[in-house]
Amino acid sequence: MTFNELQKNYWQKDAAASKLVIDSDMLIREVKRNKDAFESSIFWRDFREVAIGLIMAGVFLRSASKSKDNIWIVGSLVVVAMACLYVAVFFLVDRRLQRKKEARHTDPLLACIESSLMQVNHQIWLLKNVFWWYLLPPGVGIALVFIAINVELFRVLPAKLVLPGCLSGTLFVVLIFLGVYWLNQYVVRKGLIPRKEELEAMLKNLANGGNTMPS
Amino acid sequence: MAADLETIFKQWFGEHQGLLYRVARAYGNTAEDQDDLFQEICLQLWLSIPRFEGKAKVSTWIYRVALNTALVWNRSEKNRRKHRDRFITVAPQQRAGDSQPSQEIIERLYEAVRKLPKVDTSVVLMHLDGLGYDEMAEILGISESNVGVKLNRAKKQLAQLLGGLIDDV
Repeated sequence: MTFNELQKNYWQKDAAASKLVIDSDMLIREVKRNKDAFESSIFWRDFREVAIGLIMAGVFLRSASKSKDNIWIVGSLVVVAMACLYVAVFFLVDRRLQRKKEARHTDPLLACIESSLMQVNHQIWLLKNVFWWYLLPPGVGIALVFIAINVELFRVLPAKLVLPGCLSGTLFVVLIFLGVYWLNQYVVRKGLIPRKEELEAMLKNLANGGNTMPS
Repeated sequence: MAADLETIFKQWFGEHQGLLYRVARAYGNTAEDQDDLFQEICLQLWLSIPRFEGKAKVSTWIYRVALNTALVWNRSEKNRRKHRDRFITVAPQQRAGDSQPSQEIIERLYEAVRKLPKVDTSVVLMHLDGLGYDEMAEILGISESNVGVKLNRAKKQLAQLLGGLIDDV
């Protein structure tokens, strides 16, 4: 048969004859529920990321203000608090800026795919550089606190008592930081890079007339 | 405003639900995926209605929302859905003339369309639904001549995938 026959005698005939059975009240309820769930998940994601930073900043500032330790320990606690605050503000500013660039489903397909690709690229950039903006600032603060406390301990206690605790504490913190870093790189490799490649292929297809069949 | 939104949504949905369903069916591999995508398209339609400016035909605009949603839809991001029953059912064919073989051809066609690259799927879908080059160019954001090139190429791929069913491409 010809393409026109397929189109007219089958596709369009089927489209006209098929009767969908959808409870529109149930659909509206579901759409509203999905909308609420969507907005709530965005809110709690932002809240979680920002709130954790703010809470940690508060905890460290409070510890610094209550501390009767030497100036180095107090100063280090303030550095950690500032680092946590910086991370929280970074999240907040980044989310605000990215929200303005979010893909709009009312745009032409080309523009929508470009926006989605831009967002995925930004997400990849964030996670690939997680060490510099997320781990390093509090890491420096924590290292300073750690050094200040251990210098104080070495001064009052024998080294053989302090050393095991100092080493195991260092190892624990390093492992946590490595774990967070590895998890972020895993998400980039397994989730974001394939998504980026998929969007790039679509964009290439749409913009330049690429001719790739999906595997 | 909420009531207006609901009224508009119900009206547009009533008039264009077949279009939304065909997009979901063309992009979702399983019944569950199709259901999920259908819900996602409905959600995006609901969220997009306030941005409708009346510059395009409603059907063109709805097509754009539906295809954009399908193209950027990520199967792994469906954890917010709790409704697990089938959301859509298709009533048995109403016309006496509709036979089993024609349903087989439709199913073969959908299977072939699903195997095309995602962008080509959208071009073929719109063409099968009878949209003109100008409307397709508006939805895709590319020139009409580019639409023509894409459509010809997609039709050839489709003919290959349909294994001899079409003989004039």
